[in-house]
Amino acid sequence: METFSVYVPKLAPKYEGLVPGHRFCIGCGEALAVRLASKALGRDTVITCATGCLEICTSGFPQTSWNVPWIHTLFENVGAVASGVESGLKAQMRKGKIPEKKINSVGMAGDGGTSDIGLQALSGALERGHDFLYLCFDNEAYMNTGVQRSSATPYGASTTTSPAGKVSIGQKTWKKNLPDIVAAHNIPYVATACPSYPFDLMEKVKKGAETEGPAYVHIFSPCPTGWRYPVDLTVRIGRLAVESGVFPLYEVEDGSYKLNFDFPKLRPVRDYLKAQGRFRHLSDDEIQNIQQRVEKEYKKLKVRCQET
Amino acid sequence: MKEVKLNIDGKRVQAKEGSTIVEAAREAGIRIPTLCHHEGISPIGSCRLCSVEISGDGKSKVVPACTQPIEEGLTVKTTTERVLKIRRRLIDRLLTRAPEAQVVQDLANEYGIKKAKTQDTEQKCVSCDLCCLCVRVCDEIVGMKAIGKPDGEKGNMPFLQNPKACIACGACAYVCPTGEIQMEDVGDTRIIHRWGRQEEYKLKKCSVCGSYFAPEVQLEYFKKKANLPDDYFDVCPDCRK
Amino acid sequence: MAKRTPLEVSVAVAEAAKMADVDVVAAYPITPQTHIVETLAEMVANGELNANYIPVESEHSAMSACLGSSATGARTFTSSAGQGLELMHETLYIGPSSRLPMVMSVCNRALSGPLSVWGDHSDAMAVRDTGWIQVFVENGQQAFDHILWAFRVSEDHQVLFPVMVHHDGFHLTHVIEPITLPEQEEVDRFLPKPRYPYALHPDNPVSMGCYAPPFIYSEIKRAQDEAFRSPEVKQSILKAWEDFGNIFGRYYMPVEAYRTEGAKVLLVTMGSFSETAMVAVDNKRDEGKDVGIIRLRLWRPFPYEEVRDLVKDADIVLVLDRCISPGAQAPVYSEIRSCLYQEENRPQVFSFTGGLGGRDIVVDDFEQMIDKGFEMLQNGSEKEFEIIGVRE
Repeated sequence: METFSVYVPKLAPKYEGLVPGHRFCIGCGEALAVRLASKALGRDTVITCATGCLEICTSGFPQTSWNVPWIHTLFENVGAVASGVESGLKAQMRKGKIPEKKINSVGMAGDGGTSDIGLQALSGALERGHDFLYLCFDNEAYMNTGVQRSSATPYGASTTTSPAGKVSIGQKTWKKNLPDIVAAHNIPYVATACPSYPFDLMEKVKKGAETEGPAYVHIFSPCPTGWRYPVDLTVRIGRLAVESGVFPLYEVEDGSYKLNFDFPKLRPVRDYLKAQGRFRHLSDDEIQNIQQRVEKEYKKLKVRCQET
Repeated sequence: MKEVKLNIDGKRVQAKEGSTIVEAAREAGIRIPTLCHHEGISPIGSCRLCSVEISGDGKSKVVPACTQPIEEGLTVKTTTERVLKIRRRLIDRLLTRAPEAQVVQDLANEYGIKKAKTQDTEQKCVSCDLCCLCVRVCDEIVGMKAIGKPDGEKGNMPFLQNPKACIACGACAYVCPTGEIQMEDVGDTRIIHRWGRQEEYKLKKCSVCGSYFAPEVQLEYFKKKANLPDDYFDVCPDCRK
Repeated sequence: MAKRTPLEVSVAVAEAAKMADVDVVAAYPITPQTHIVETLAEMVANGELNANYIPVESEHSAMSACLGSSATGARTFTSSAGQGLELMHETLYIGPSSRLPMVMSVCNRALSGPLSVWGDHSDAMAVRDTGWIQVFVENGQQAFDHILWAFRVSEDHQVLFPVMVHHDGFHLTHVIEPITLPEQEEVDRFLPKPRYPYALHPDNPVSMGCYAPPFIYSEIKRAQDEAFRSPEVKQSILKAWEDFGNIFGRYYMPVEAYRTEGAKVLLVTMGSFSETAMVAVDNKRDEGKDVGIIRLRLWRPFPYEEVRDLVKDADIVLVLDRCISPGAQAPVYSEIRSCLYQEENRPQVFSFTGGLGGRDIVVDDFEQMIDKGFEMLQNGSEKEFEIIGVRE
């Protein structure tokens, strides 16, 4: 779908679920991703939102940036609240209390709210098979509280709680592979996306919303503030992550893997790492180490695509 | 901008002056079926699926909601028996015309039509609904006018000629509601499937990263149009510093 | 005609939720609440109750799912106890501040550690300030009645606060009592269909749960508190009890008085132990002692006027808490005492704590408490506080 990129921007849905006036940083990849996602979701959507950048930047009382019904309660319970929203609407429709209508129940949370504190609620909701879509906007750390590491922070990244120092390279663990953990729940639709590939992202969000049963889209959301790169490079950083194999874009439909962008040759991860301040301290050896890991993971993914 | 108040299906609706009934209804969460309508392209009201009944001055008439502008105090009914009868007849014909199009099957299901009254066994293309969105997008958005109705072949498939001016941008595939037009990139080739044909376009390879990033014919067109140097597209946008 | 049947109280609570025609039940099993949610799950499985039962993976998610469901306007029910209620703690504040109606039956249970599945009021006191309307019931019939009552109050547009119905774990949940079940028609007459005015729906988009910067947080919290303690809420609570009595023949009050006429010594109790205490009061009255009992039913919003009015002629007030507050005064005691502090002729208030972690308080114990009360009446007391029924 991304190959359409020349003229189709003029044909993208004009509808905005997230309207201007919000408080996101300049160059925020998440804001871009949410805007695109809300275009794909359309009006008939109820959003459940976790505490985090997304909530703080869009909902300061008495203002709101949301054109669609939206609820925020807490940080770690999006999966559960979205389960409740879905069940509440379904039960009332079944009992004739409200008219039958296809309404998308959509959960939105950051990487901390998804892969750390919210993992239990998400896993429960996926396992119970609620008809809902979960969007994780992954900016690879707790950005709202000031760039603390999460389990989604990549190896070697310097954050405020995994700082690079004389005896530390920063984050010492490899990024938790959440799409894989979600796919292990055997839900009908799992995908990864990035706002640098807007039509691919919208297509996947739409597909996820149309899926009957749980669907999950993991959206790579570059963050100029936390990753320390110039604000005009957000789209480029996203593309570098995909082209270098650091964040491959793929779908898992009913257990079958499909790589959406397969490059004849992966770009060196150095191109991606060197563009960001959080990796500035990495030695050539460490970059080589990351390169090997990325290649290994990418190969694993390709094998899975062939096998399934 | 001035807001106009009207009534759609008993619901009080407010919309911007100059909007059409379809736009006002969507804004209010009221669904009117459409096929030939796309919000990015000027409406022509050709499919007539969006027919609704409007009334004022004690009279009522059926109009296509996608082209009809709203007026203050207008009363619109989207599901009267008269409207439903028109829609059913249209869907019946669509089912003959494009029996394999998912969007047509869904509409038939929704309106309780099991099988088309007439069958056309001669027909080669079983998904095209003749909505002409491809013709209009190529004209209005792309500016190539590559797809067009051939003259003098009324009532026939409009797009039988090979679109020579095509730059393989895919806008037609993007807007096609039935899936009749599809596009895929396989290795160094972009393939566009339309109306039973399979057209192939060679893709340009980036001299730095080696990926195939755009059709050559398209890049040639851009170079000519923007007066760019000949080697401008040797590298892909991601590798260009 | 209403029929009287022997039922386990947990089953009666589930029966009440069924007769209220709940749309969504989200619950996580915990002793002593399990029989309630098991029964509801069974009712859904058998098609007797048309509801979505969400078997969540924790109490935190149970309440979270209830928040989501209630926000769509669905009639929502859950039940929990002890540790479960504590795991919910954070989520409990959201319902009242977002004005989301729902009903939770709480099967009061002690808190770890040490682990105890048996009853006391530690869990209820821990959620005292969450902003829920809270009532304590004393027997199975009351437990049944108050589920229906709670939906009626919670969903009233003048109220829109969630309601907790506290009943003692095991002492109530696991006993079989004769319960009068009403006709569905009577329930429907008492309990109108829910019409939540701010439901999450694309036809009328609202943003719910926005964050509040410092310039507005205090105003929002004050508005919440003012609404919670408003005459409208109180009126709705009283009117629901009155209508309930008119339809079903059982009348309830925020504070129930028993043999308080001319009483010099007054017991104050909450929950199922009140009925045991009433027997002790009867015995002591037979001995010619001027003793009475007041039983707190409405715990939040606290019925200050009613308590002051009932206590005004007593000299000694003995408050029983089933919860300790380490290093401070027991919660019900401190509430009663502070309620009476400004009174001109305030009685002496004494704190008993007992019945912790499932320990029984029998009639004898209450008689001893009453005797102590009369001793204080004569000789005064050095102490203000005593844990009863505990071995040295």
